[in-house]
Amino acid sequence: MAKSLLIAELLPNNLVVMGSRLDESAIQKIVIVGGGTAGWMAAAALACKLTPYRHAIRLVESEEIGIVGVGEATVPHIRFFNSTLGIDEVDFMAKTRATFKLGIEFVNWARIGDAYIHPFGAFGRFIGDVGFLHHWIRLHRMGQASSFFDYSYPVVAAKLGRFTRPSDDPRSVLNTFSYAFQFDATLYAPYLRKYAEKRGVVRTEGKVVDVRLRDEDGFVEAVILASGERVEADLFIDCSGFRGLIIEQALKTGYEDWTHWLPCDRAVAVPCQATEPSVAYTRATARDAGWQWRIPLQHRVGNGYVYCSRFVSDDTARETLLHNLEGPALAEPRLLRFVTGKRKKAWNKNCVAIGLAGGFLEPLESTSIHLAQAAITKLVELFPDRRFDPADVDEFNRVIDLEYERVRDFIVLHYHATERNDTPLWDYCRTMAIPDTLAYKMELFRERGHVVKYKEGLFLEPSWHAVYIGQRIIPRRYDPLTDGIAVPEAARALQETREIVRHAAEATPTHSAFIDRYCPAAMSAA
Amino acid sequence: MSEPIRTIVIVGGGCTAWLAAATLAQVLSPLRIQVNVVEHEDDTVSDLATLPSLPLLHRAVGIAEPEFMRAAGATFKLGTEFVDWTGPASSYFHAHGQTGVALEGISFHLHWLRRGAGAAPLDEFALAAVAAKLGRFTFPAADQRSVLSTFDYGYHVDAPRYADFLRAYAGRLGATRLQGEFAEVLRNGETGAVEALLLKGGARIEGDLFIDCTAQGLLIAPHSGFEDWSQWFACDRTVDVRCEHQGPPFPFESATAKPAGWQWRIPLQGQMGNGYVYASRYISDDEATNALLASLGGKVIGEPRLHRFRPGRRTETWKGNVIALGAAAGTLEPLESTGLHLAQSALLRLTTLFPHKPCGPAEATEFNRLTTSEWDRARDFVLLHYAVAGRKDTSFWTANATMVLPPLLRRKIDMFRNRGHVILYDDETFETSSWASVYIGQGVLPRRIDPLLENVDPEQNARNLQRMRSMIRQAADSMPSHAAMLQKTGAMARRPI
Repeated sequence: MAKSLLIAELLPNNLVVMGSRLDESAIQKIVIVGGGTAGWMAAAALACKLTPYRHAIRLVESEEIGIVGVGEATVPHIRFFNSTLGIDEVDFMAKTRATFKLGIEFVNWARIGDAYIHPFGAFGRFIGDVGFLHHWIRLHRMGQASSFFDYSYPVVAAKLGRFTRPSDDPRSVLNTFSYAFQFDATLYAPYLRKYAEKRGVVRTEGKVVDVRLRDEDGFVEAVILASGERVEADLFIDCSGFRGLIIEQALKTGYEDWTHWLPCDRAVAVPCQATEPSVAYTRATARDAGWQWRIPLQHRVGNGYVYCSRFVSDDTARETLLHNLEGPALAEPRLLRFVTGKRKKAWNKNCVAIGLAGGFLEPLESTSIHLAQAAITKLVELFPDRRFDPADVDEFNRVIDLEYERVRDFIVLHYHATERNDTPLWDYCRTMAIPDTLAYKMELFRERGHVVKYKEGLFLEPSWHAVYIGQRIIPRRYDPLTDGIAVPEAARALQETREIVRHAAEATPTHSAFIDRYCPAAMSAA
Repeated sequence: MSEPIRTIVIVGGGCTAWLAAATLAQVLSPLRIQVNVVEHEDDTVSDLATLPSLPLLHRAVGIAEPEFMRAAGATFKLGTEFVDWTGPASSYFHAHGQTGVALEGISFHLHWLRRGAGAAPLDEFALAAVAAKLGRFTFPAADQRSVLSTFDYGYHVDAPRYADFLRAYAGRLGATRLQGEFAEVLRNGETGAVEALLLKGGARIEGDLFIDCTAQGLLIAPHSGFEDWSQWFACDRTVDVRCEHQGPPFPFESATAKPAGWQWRIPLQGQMGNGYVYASRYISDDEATNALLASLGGKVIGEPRLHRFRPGRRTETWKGNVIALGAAAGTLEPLESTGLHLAQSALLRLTTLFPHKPCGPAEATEFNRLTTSEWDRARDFVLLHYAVAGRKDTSFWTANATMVLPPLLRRKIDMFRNRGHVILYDDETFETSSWASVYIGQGVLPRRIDPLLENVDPEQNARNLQRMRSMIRQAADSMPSHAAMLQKTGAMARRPI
C-alpha cells in the first residue's frame, strides 16, 4: 500500500470551528438549581460537550444551604467522565486530596467476624472456556482451593495496603483490574466550578424561593430568588438535593419509596485523624442498626454511620460512630436524613433532576456520584430542543430507571444475604420480601452459579460473584462443563493464579508511597 | 439428585440439526457426552446467507474455511443490497461491520447527517459496501488501527450441501447418525420429561436431553404455545430455484422488493440462488413462481420448490428436557440472514446454561427469557424494513404502511425520526450502524440535528467525510477481486456444482 490506511488519520483534531449559532427551536437558556457535586458536574459536562450552549448555562446556588458532601468513594466510571471532560487525573487527585480505590471491604455482613473485599477486577481466569467461579466451587468442595478472594489481584494488593496503576499488557495479571477514587467531595464541586466558569457558565449566588409554571402546559417558566430576581430558562436542571425544589415541590412528580427494601434513613458523619498510612479501599462495617463507612483520604479519614432510625436513636448512633473512630474527630458530627428511593420520573416536562433530587441510594457501593454522572451523560446524549419531544424524555427515564433499579438490587443483596439474627435490623433484612428482579437473580445464582447480564448495568459478573461468595452464598450446582477439565489440572491452574496474584501484590508499591510520588495534595490549597 | 447429562438426541435434518450436532460434539467432548442424531426430513429452502457470526462459530468448532466453502459451494458475503424498497430503482446497502468511524465518541451516522449538501451516500462510508459493489474481497485486518479492520463478512451457502458437510464433520467429532424415522415421543408419566423416542420399526432411542430441529417442531409443539406474527409479516411462502450465472460471483446478497413480498439473489459458486418470499393472501403460488422465473438472470436449473412457513415463534423454546432450534423455534423471514444466527446463538446459550439431569427450571427459564428477547429484537429489525418502506403501489405495501407496530419498535422509529438517535435494548443482534443504514437507506431522516453536532461546521465536516470516503475507497481498491480470493484461498470446488 502506497499510503497508510490508519483510522487515526481520519480523526480530526478539532471538529468545532464555529461559535454559538443556535437554531430558533433550540434551547436558549439553561438553569441549574443547586451547586454541590451534582450541579457543578452537570454544568461542567454541558459546557464541555455542548459548546454552543455554554454561554446559555446559569447555575444558581446559595452559600447558605449546606452541601451534603461527607467524604466520598466512587466507581471506575468517574475516570471516564473526567477524561471526556479533559480533566487531568493528577491535577484532580491533588486538588481533591484523593486516594485510589481498588474496592470495598465488607466487615460483619453475613456473619460477625466475616470480612471480604469486593474489588474492581476479575477473579482468576477462564480455564477451558469455563468461568473461574465454577472451577473454584468444584475444587472448594474437594478442599483443594483456598478463599475465593485469594485469586484476585486487587483484593490481595488492597489488603496489603498497596497500589499501582493497571497494565496495558493483556498477559499481565495487572491487566485484570480497574480503580476509582476516594476523595473530599466538598473539593470536587469547587474544582468543577472553576472548570465550568472558565468555559462560560455563569454562577448566581441566591436562594430559590419560588417556582413559576406556565399556565398552558405546566412547564417551568422561571425560578424566583430571595432577592426578587426572576430567572427564566427553557430547561431547568434540578440539583437542589433531597428537597427537589422544582421536580417535586413545583411539579409534584412523585417519589418511589424503597424503604421497605432498604430501611436505613439516617447517616451521621464525621472526619477523623488518620492513624496509619492511607490504603486503597473503603471499608463498610455492618453494625447493629446499619453500617459504618471508613473512607481514607490523603489528609484525613471520612467516617459515617448509616442507620435505621426505627432501630436506634440519633444519640446512640452518634455515640457508636464516635466510639468507633481510629483517631480524634476533626469536626462536629453532622446528621443527614434521607428517604431511599427514586423520583418517579427523573425528567418531567422541562425539568431534569440530577443527584439527590433524582433519588437516593445509600452509599454502600459508592454509587451516588455515578448515578448523577449517568444522568448527566444521558442528558447530553438526548439533549432536547424547546419542543421537548416525549420520545427523548421517555428514553431518558427508561435508562435512568434501569440504572437505579439495578444498583438498588445489588445493594439489597448485601443486606438480604445475611445469616445474622442478633438485632432487629438484621432479622428484618434477612426475612424481608425482596424485589422480584433480585429474587430471580438470587435463585438463578443459588441454583447454578449463573449471573444475569444486562446491557445497562453498573455491576458486572465479578462484582456479583464477590458479594455472593463473600456473603456465603455458594451455588448448589456449578456449570457441568467444568468437569471437562481434570481436577489436578484445574487445581494446578488455581494454585498458579494464587501465586501470581500474591507475588504481584507483594511487588506492588505501598499506596501511600504511590500517592506521594504521583499526586500529593497541596496542603495549603483550598 | 443431580446427575450429569450423558446423552443428547437431536431430531431433524438440514443445517440446523447438523450444526447443533457438530457444535455440541465439539464443546461437550471433554465430558464424553454422546450426541445422536435421528435424521428427519428437512423442509427448508436451499439457499442460505449468514451473518458474520458463522465464521466465528466455525473457528470455535474447528471447521477449516476452505474445506467448508468447497463442500458447500460457498461464497463470501459482505452484506445485502436492498433494491426497490422505497420505490423503483431505489437502492441501499446494509454492510457487515462498521460504517465510517465514530468521531469524538459520537456515532458516525450523526456526522454523516450533518454533512453539507451534495455529500456522498452513506453506503460509500461502509468499507464492506464499497468493496462489495466493486466485486472485491479480502479478510478483515487483525490490526485494529487499520481501516481494513472496520468491516466483517459472512457466507452464502448451498444449504443441502452445507448440511452434508456438517453431517460428515459432526460424524468425525463423534456424533452418531441413527437409522430410522421418528415416530413418537415417550415421556415419563410423572415428570413429563422425554425419556426416549420411538422410531418406525420399533427402535427406542433414549436420551437425557432432546434437541428439536424439525421444521414442524414435533417435540416442542405439543407443550409450547406459538406467538403468531402474521399481523406484521404477511409473507408465508417461498418459491426458490437456481439458475446459471455467467461471470464472477458477487460478494453480496440482493433483496429486491416485489408487489407481494421480496426476492433474494444469493450468489453461490457457479450458480445463482433465487427466491421469492411472498404473501399467499396477495398472490397465488403460480403467480409467484412465474414472477420468479421471469426474473432470472440466467438459464434455470432444476424445478422451482415451494415452501410454506408460519411467521412467529414459540413462547418457550426450552420445555422440560426438550430444546427447540431453528424452524422448530420459529420462523423469521430471511430478509436479514437471521435464521442460522438465531439457531447458533441458542446453541451457544445452551452451552453457557448447560443443565444437569433432571432439567430443573432455572436454566430453562433464563434461556427462554434471553431467547424470546433476542427473537423479538431481531423481529423488530426485519419489521423495520417494511414499516418504513415508501411503497404504496400494491395492497401488500399499503398494508405494511398502516400496520400497528410493536411498541418498542415504534419508540425506536420515533427516536430516529426525532433526532437520529438509535435506541438499542438488551439482546440485540444488530448494532447502531445496521439500524442507521436501514433508516437512512429507506429515507428516514431525522427532523433535527443532534445538539452534540450543532457546533460542527457542515463544510469542515464534509471535508473530513471526503477524506474518510477517499481512504475507504482506497482500501477497497487495494483488495483482490472476490473471484481471485475464492481461488487463492482454496475455497473453489474443483468440479462445478
